[in-house]
Amino acid sequence: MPEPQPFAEALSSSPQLFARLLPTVFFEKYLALDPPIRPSLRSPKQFRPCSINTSALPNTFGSAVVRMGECIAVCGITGYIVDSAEVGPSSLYTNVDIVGRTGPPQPELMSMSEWMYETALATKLFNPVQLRIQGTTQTLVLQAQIQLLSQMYSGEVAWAALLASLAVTRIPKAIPSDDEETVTADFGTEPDIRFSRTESKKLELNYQSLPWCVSFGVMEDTGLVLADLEGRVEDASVQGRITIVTSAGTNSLQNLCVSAGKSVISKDHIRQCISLAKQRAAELDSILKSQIYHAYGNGW
Amino acid sequence: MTVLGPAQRSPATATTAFLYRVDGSASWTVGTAHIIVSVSGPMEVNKRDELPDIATLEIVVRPDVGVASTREQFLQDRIRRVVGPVIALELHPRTLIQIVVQIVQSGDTKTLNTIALSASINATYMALLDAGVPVRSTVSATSIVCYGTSSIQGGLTTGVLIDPTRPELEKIEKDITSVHTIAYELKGGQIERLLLSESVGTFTEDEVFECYDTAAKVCEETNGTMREAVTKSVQQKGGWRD
Repeated sequence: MPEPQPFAEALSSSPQLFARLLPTVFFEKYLALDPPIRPSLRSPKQFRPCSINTSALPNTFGSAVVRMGECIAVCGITGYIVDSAEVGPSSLYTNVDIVGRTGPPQPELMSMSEWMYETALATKLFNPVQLRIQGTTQTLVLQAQIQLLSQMYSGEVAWAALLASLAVTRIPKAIPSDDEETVTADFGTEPDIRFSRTESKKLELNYQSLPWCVSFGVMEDTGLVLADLEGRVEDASVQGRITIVTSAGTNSLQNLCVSAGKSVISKDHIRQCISLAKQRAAELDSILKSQIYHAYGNGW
Repeated sequence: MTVLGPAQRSPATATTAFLYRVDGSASWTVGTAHIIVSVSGPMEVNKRDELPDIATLEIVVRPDVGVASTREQFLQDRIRRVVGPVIALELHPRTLIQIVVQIVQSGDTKTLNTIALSASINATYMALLDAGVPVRSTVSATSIVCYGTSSIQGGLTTGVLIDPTRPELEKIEKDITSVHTIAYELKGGQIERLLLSESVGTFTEDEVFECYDTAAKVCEETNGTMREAVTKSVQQKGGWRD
């Protein structure tokens, strides 16, 4: 074949440029193959590979780093003390940030942050009674700071990091001080609290199998279900979305968000996604369990 | 499992065309919720937000009390997901369609935002009609709250509230098992497809599908309410012909 002429070379574009300019067409070319495949070389129902590392951060009650495909989320759990009377509806506050971005948070990030807070509230991950400080009217409130190392707003990775870090969270024993006091909201006094460096208690979660978040896309013309969307191309080409929070081994769901865009999403699509989500939840449970066993041995 | 049917619910009322400096406006009242939406456009857009092939959609949600927080961003995102695909954005490229949602009374309790979302979706759609923005089909939304209380005798009573008022919600607040906000697309008064469904709590696949069916019936009724309001509004606007 003769060498391409300079003129022809300038007209032919690289696949990356094609993906930037016409993501929908680029995506459909891949899906039109037999069997259909995605640009990331995953099959439509294939999930991203996931790895979890727990207790990576110092100075936290619990932490985890979760990686799914190209998206990484780091979660650290800390806490602060409030008067029992002042505790709001939740004993767990979540905040999601993107690493390396300055300036005000993007609207997608704010709405993901709100989704996480509401889902954490509704799923009742743990009994807040465990956070009470004995002998005082004060209680601990947990704060989960989640950092995303990825440009895509991946709610399921952030949620996975939250679950994994709560699964290894240990609440240090609170020791009310004998001589120092602090003034409370109603102008009474309470003993100052300090935390033991040696004694701690594992946070008991309300779930044996954790409620993981799994997301899907539904194509507009073909109704094809795609598991675990990732990347700019898939995000631009697939408008129909189904996000499910569920745990393996039960038939109850904690969260189901369906947003059709221009696609037609039927009950069958949803049924299919729920059963795939339960399989994925079981897979993530075993990844987390084996990581905890590997790190802490059988005594956890 | 109890069979769900449209329970007693307060009717919704809608009024339109009462704001002067915008292209369209609507007010939607259902139960204790009251939302006002204004729509302006298609109009001039700054170069930074301009899109070459479709109109830019800007949605702003303002709360009833306090400053806008992540909650309003969440509502904005969900309203956009419902209303975005229904507006014929490609008919007005390089323009802006601006939607401002003012929550006058959210009708929710402190921890929920379902009533505000469903009422905002309905109000937004009415305002788009009033502004004459080209839309492909009708949209209507509803809120369904499922609760279950265990009585002392050991029995479990379950119930379902559709578009509840705030006092109704506060009464069963501790026993709420799941909350569903569902929006449908309709054509010619018939359900065409599901547009949005946000379900939170503890529920099974069957429960949520029953909620979808109940919501479909409710959305057809809401569509009827919208049709009456639009008919009245068109008669008023065309009054100069007489």
